[in-house]
Amino acid sequence: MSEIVLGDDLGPRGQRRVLIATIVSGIAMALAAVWMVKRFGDRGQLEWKLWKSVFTGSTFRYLLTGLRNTLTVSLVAMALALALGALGGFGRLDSNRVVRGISIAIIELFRATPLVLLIYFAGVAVPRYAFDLSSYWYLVIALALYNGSVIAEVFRAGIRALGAGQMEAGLAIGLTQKQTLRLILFPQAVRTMVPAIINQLVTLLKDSSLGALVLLPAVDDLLRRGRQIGEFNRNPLQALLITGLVYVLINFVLSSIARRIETRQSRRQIAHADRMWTAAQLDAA
Amino acid sequence: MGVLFDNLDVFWAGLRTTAALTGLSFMLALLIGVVLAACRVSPVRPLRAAAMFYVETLRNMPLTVHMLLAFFGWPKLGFRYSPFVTAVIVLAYYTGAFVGETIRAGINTVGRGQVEAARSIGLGFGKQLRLVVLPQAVRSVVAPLGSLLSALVRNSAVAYTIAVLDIMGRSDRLITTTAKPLEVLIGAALTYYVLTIPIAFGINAVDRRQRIIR
Repeated sequence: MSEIVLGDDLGPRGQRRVLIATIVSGIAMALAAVWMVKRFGDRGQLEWKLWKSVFTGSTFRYLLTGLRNTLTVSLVAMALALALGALGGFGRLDSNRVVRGISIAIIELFRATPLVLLIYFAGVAVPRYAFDLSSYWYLVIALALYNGSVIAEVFRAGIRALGAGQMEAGLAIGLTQKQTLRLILFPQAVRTMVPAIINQLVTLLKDSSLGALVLLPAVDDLLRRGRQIGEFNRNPLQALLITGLVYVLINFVLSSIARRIETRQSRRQIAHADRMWTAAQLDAA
Repeated sequence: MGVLFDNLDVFWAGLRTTAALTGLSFMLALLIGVVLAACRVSPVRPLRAAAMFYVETLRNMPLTVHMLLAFFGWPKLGFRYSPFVTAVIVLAYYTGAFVGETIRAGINTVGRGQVEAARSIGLGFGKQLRLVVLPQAVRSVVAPLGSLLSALVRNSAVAYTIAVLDIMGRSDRLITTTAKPLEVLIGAALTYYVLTIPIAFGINAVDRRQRIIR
C-alpha cells in the first residue's frame, strides 16, 4: 500500500497544523467513545446480568458449534463455487460463440439476482423439481451458484491480465487454443487470483448468515445461535454484538492473509520489472 | 404466470420502495465514503486510525448482523426508527465502508509522478488536488462505484428481514397470500433486473468513455 503524499515532508507550519488536528480529533473521538459508553450505561445496557450470559462457557460452546456450521457451509459452497467458476470462466473464453453466449447469459443472470432471492428460490425450487434436501444444502446450492458466477469473472479477468503474448506463444509452439488455456494461461492466472478468491470467501462467509433468516427451517449457523442466545437471555444487543465480533475476527484474519499475499505478489512483480529494466540497460550499454 | 400480471401493482410498489431505499442509502454512503477516504489519506493519525477501524469492523460484519443489531439492539439504547429508516441507515454505513476503500484505491492509482510533475510546474496543494489528482482519481473510481451501487440494490433485499416492504418484502407477503412461491419469486427477480440491468449498462457506457489508457 503506497500512501500518496501530496507535497514534500511538512514544514514547521504544516507540522504545527497536523499536531493541532491530531489533538482536536483525538479529543473528539475520546468524547464520542465516552458518549457511547454513557448511552449504554444510561439505558442500563452495561449491567453485568445482561453481559454475564454471553461470557459463560456454555454460551461459548453453543456459539462455537454454530461457527463450525458457518465454516463448513462456507467451505463446501466455496469448493463448489470454484469448480463452477472455472467451468464458467472457460465457457466465457471459449472460441465457440454459442458456448460463450450461453456462459455469459448464465453468469450475468446469477450475478444480477439478489442473493436473498436466490436462497429463497433454492429453498422453494430444489425440493419441488429435484431433491428434498435440508436447508443446509439449499443454502450451499444458492451460495455456490452465485459465487461461482462471480469467480467465473475473476478467472476471466485473471487470464485477460496475462496479456496476449502468453496465448500467442502457446499457439506458436503448436498447442491448440484449449491446451494453451489449460496448460499455460490457467496455472498462471490461478496464482494471481488467490487474493481475490480469499476476499470472495470473506463475502461468502458473511452471506452464509442469510441461511439463518431466509430459509425455513433456519440453518443452524453462528447467526442463528447468536440470535437464540439473545432471545433466551433477553439481551439481543449484547448477544448480537458478540456474534458480530466473531464474524469480524474471522474475516479480518482472512482478509489480512489476502492482503499479505497481494503485497508479496506485487513486490515480486516489481522485482521482476526491475530485473528486466537492468537487463535492458545492460543491453543498451 | 397469471399471479404476476394480477399483482403488477404489488411489484411496482416494491420497486419504488427498493429504489428509494437504494437511492437514499447510496447518497449517504457516498458522503461517508468521501469522508473516510479523506481521513485515510490525511497526515492526522487519529483520523487515519478511526477510519481504518470503521472500515475493518463494519466491512467484516455480515449485513444481516448489522440489520438485526439495528432492529433489535438500537431500541435498547433509545434509538427507535421505522424499519425503512433503520434499513437506510444500516445500508448507508455498511456500503460507506466499501465506498471509502474504493475512493482511496482511486486516489492511490494516481501515480507519484503525476503529483511531482504538478508540483514542479508550481501548482500549490489545492491546485494539485483539483487539477491533477482528483480528475484522474474520479475517472478510475466511476466504474467500481457503479458496481457498488448495483451490489447495494441487491443487498437492499436483506432489509426484508426487518419487515421493510421492498420488492422482497412484498413478494414474501404475496407468497403467503397466493401460495405460488416460484411465480412470485420469478416476478421479484425480474423486478430487480429493472433496476440492476440499466445500472450495468450505465457503468459500461461511462467506463468506456472515461477510461484512461495507461
